[in-house]
Amino acid sequence: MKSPVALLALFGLGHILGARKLLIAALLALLPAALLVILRWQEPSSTVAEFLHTGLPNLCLAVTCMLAMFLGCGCVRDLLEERTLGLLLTRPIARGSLALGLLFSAMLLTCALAAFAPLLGFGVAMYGLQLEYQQGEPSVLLLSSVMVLLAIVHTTLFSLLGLRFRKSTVIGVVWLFVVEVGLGSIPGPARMLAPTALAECLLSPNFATRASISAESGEYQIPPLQALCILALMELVLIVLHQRRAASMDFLSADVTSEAA
Amino acid sequence: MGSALIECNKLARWYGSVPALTDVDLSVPAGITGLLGPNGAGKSTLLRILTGQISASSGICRILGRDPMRDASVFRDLGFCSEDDALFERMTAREVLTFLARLSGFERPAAKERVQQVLEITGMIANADRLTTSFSKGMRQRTRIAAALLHRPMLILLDEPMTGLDPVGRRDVLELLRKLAEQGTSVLFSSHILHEVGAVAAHIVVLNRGMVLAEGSLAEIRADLSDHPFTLSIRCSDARALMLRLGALECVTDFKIRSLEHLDVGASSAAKLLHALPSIVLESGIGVSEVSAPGESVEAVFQKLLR
Amino acid sequence: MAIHERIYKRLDQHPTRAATWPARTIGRVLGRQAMRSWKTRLLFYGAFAPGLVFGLMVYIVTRNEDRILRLARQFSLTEISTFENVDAEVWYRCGSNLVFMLLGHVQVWFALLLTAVLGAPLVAEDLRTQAGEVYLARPLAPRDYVMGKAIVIAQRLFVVLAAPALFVLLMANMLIPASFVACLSLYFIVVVFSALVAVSNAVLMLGVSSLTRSARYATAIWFLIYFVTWIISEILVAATDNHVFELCSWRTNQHIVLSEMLELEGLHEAIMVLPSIEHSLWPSLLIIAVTAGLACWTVLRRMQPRKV
Repeated sequence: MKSPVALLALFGLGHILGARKLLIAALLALLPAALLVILRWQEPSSTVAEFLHTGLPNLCLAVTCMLAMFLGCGCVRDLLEERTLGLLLTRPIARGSLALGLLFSAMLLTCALAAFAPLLGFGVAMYGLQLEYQQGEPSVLLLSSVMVLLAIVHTTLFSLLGLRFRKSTVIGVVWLFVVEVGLGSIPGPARMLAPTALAECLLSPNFATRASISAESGEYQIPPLQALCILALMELVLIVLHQRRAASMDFLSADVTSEAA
Repeated sequence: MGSALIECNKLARWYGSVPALTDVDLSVPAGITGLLGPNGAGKSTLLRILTGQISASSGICRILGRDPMRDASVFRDLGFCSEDDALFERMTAREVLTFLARLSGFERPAAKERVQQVLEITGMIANADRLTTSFSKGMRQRTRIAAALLHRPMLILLDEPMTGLDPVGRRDVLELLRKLAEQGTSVLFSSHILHEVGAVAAHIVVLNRGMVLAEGSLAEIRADLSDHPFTLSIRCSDARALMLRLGALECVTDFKIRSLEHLDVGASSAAKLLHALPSIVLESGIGVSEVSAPGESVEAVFQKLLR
Repeated sequence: MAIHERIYKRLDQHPTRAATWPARTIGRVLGRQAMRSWKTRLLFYGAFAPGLVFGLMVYIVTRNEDRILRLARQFSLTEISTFENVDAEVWYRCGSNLVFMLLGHVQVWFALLLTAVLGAPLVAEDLRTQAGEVYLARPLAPRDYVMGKAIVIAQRLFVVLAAPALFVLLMANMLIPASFVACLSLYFIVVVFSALVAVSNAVLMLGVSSLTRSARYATAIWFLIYFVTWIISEILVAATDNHVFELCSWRTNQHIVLSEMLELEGLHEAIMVLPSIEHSLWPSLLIIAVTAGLACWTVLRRMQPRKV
């Protein structure tokens, strides 16, 4: 028999794939490729090649954050708002496993789209636009892998926000601005708290990001291995918090689901 | 585990500053139990606490000897149909039930077989392969009742199960509850429609404003109310003569002669009047054809309790 | 309940064709309902804080003008010689415009958040709870419904955008009475710009809210529209140096309108913190109007009875 977590992940995946939000998520993932086409139409190939090195990684980072926010916030809360969560809660599955299964479904889709966005961008540049940019080709796998890592951490984070707050999207946007943009730009160890800044450390020096600019200017920088460890630790902590929140949460309480209360 | 399937001790739940349940002490035995109360009495809150969907603000609750909030294994023996009119969209009834059966631990072939059975039981077989979004309210309700029955639980909790059903559907559900009880499954169902509860429930719990007003069989509740004022309707051969005889009793408060052969007697204590009545009738030789207490139906008991 | 009982009673009266009270009633009652949450109230009243901070700054600057200019020269923030040659009236007007420009930039962020918080549930919740049918079962035209809902957002956005700016402006005029005549046009600009942002944001948010049955997704789509168009335009402008791409961002269009109304072109070389704008007012206004019109059409379409 399949484990309940796998069953729930498959169910959650089907739930998202059948919804209109997939269209918006897919449009977000197509954004880098679309921008490349517009750039190619406007500019000579050298600009496109430079864009692959400088603009694309930053755009992919932004797209991954937004995808994670879009899909992560709703992975449990969607069912809560539709009031169908009660059907799952009354099955012999621990609440933690239930939340984990639904989180995995959102995580799977976010990771797939986050990995697909840079791959498609490079694919369009290399094969669609006939760009000669041999140096960039090996790095695309690095970019995709880092995006997957970032998608995992951010989906867990936003799912946790979704479990905790009714207006999780507003909180998510504030988080992106304060922590990812604000804290992540501060030179010094404080940026270790921003997952995007850690992901940038993994991309440096292959791509031009805030981390590589810091490195060039001799500011404090986090070594890639350390960044990877911190990201893993962060994910572990987030998963634990996610499980604890799911286990103790009043899922169908009026103050969780109703505006009036 | 004792004989009680559900045990609550000083259970309370607050929504902000609004009390939904206040110090509920409850013990529900096997069989069919009706949870009776007007809208806003706290029935749904109680059932949600019992199924661990929300936590109690204070107090202890045990269902089948386990804490539903912490021990998910209780749902192997417990089925629940909530009052929320919610089903997964973009899925057929069969798909919804198969998925829920698999989550309950059924292998795929067993799940399919069991789903077929519950669809037949709930009369949903003809609509099993339609998308739930196209269902009427009654069909959605039947599907959710089917979901509660899927894993052959020993206790089923149903929150307003008759909501949205037409009279035939209501009769079918009541019949289903009786059948389940015959097969040894215990049922706790909530309703604010009194005759439904009176028709099937052997044990009744009356809730109002978050408090348990009465608990027990209908007869027990009625006995508890015996010292309350009540009215007896008597059809006899001579209403005036009977009135004169009964007027001597201390507990009798008022009379209403409806016709020469029909008398309503108001009393401050039901027990005293019912104790004295047979001897008075025998001594007077007045022929009595019918004695009824219109105020002693489930509705009346309920109204009295609420008062 | 999505709608207050008082709306029912009020809306049962038959309005004339040109009556505005149905929209005002919806706006008033739902607005009060939206402000019941302490978080929304905190955001709304918190939006006045920048006005107080700017007011304090204006007070300090007017009392320590010489010292501030010396500091600015020290950090090479301004070309002081540019200002030394201009007359007082232009100096006052430019200074006031600059203060409002900076304050406007801060207030637009509050407006963005407030639009999301207030506006996301307005149509989405009605679609989810089917409360829209309750409105349209009254003698109401769909435009009254849209106007009423737009009033809920626009009224509050207008206050958040205009009140702090007017406060700072009044304070500056009181501290330097000679600047009053020079800044007179700015009062008009503050009101017009605030009204434009308030109405356009409100209508666009309603359009977004009508696309989904979940307030959360409406919020997400609103932020995506705002930020994604901004990021795209920034990337494209940076990569191609073609400023036409600036017009595809909702945020930048509002920024262009503000800059053009304030006539800040002359200040770009003097004050380095200001970005240069290479567009005229009308294309941005046209884009804002067309987008708002589309959003309005979307809401009206969504509120129509569905074909079975």
